Amino acid sequence: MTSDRVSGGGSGRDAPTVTFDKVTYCYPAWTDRPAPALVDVDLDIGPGLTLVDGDSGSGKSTLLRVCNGLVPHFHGGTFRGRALVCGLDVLATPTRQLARHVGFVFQEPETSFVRGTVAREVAFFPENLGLPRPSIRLHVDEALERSGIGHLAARRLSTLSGGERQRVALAAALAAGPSVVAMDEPMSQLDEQGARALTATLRALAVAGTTVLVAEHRLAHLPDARRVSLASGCASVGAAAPAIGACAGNAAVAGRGASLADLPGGHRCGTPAWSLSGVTVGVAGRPLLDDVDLSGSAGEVLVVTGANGSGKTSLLRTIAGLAPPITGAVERRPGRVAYLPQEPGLLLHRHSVRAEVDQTLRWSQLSGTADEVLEVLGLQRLAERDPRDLSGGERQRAALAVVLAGRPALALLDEPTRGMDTAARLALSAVLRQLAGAGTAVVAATHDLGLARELQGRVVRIEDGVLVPDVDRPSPDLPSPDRLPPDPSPRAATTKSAW
Amino acid sequence: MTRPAAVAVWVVAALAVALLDADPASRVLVLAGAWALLWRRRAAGRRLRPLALGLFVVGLVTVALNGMLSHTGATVVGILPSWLPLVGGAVTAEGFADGTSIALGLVAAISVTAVLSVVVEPTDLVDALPRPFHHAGAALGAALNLVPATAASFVAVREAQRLRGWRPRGTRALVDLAVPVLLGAIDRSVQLAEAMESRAFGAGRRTTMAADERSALLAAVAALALLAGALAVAVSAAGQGSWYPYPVPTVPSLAPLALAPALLLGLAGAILPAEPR
Repeated sequence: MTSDRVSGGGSGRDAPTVTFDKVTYCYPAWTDRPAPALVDVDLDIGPGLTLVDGDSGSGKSTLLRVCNGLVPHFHGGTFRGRALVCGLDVLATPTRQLARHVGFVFQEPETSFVRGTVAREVAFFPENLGLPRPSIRLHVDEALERSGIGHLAARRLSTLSGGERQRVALAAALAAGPSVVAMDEPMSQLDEQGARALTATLRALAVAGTTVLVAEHRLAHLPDARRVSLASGCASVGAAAPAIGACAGNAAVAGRGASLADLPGGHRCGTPAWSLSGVTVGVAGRPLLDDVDLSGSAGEVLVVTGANGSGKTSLLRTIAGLAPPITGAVERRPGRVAYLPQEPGLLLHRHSVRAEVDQTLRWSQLSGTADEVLEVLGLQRLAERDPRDLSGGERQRAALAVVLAGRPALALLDEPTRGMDTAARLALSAVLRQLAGAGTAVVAATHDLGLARELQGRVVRIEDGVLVPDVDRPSPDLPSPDRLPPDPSPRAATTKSAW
Repeated sequence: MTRPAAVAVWVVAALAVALLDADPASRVLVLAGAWALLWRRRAAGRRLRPLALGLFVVGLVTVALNGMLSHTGATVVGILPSWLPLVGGAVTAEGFADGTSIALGLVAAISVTAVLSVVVEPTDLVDALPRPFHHAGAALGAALNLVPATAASFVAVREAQRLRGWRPRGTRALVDLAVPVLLGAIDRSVQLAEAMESRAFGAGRRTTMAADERSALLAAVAALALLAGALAVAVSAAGQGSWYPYPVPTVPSLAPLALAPALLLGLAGAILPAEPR
């Protein structure tokens, strides 16, 4: 397959900083794959903001990794064609040399941290370049400032929220003053506020003349970016992403003190499946949510939203029985509880996706085969693949198949759409609605407004340690989730929700 | 001289003083010096309460055990039934006094060692290695970050497997747990290596931001600590600085020479500068 040459960036006078010339790449373990990860990719990208989009597994991460030489120097494999970054031939330049010009931010920033505190983490890059100490300090200060986290310099990384960690990862990549910044799904873990702040930083970088490459599914945050679209490893040029639409007027509004059950989507289904009574949710004895009265019925979908670090995960863990409540009582009806953690790798260690799903069925002593859940999640094509060879979005779907196999009585899903493209998210929504229709109580913690809309269930939001009805929850007739307004209007709040 | 190096020298010297100088007054001074350092110079986010509670328990158990097991001394404060194994017999004030002295030494030594992990970052400590070891130190420091992540993944995998219906039975259950944890650790190692490579690790000579412009002050900290350690060795060799509560307890001598090492350590700790931003 051959793609047309994709050009973009700069004012027309600037030479491209990233050039791909018929680049084809195949990972070493991909002997069973029908096509390479990248196929005859031709690209010219100059300074400015460029969005790399495409379905899960389309080659976005691979393309970014070529820019700093991790592909092929770190991963090995077969590389054909020519890639130039800042005038350097990627094939002839080791990653550690390319790093002087290319800053890279990985999908999961926490796995890339090497030091204990923010300032030292950011300093790691210039330290490796052998810069004198005063110069390192200048670089660190500037990178922290550009990333908007100067106030976090002395903080320990373990105390930061997901959004703050993402910005630290960006600062760490900027610390050597790169000409090119490549970011792999930087918003997949961010709440709306975090995503907006990061977007502002990326725009500022682009304006300052940096070539910013972002692989991302949340397109609405980068409406003005140039687009490179990947499909099965082939690149094509695209227009800027669609503008963010204004649809706040369509949002349902409830008065102060409204019961969550009264809200649209607050339909009560079957028998009670779980309940929290007067529960205080917290971590290590530190309360995050106070006095929670919340329950769900069989066949009901509940969506929990809230900022990074607000307590969504802790709430799910409390419902699941993984974390005892600080106070109050938790009840669950008998039956299997499915829990999808934020890190899908915790569930994937067998040689194939099918083997992993079969293991759940065996452990839970359930009849049936893996095919059903693999089919509805669109995973049959990947059923025999090693989960560790899958892309981020594909791994997430595989993890979902593992926990949802055998129709659990209660499904608790923590950020289930992380790394997923729109098609996969729509498929997931359909699966969850189907599960609910069959009597499963579903609780999903997410910052994905699209999922919240598509699930058509009750939505509650965690705000300052209190559960409040999400009165701005988008109604089903709203346009695409990628067009949802990033800045919700003021919401009604209750100090204690009950139904 | 870097700050972590100065702290490391202080800790080694303080350990020597705490363990060689048996004078309770000296041990109290070392303990006070260590806690002053822990309190004033602890790294961001470090909590001292668990350490304090642990030390309290260790001290209490040491005093109690020594008091009940020594059966030596002139001042009998009680008698436990002789049929009680080990503890049966006279309980003496001297035994408790000796236990207090031992507990002070133990608690002081643990507090001093805690300074290493509370006052400096482990990664900064390995950074303080001599230049030929800079790369190895940085790699080791990065690897240290994997330890808590791997420990956390052990718990997370166990939880995830349990909710899939896994019930641990026999050695096979260990495999179900160990394999994912191991694979996760390998994955994290690979990702860490990628991240380090992407930030030019190994590109050439490495420098560090940790070097401190207050190296003269830090050198003074190290020099005072070394002097204290050397003095403690000399005092111990000369047979001074010891204290023995049997057959009857005496008031510690409070001899200036015996207390000098601990006082020097306190001074060194007092001038240790705060962690630079």
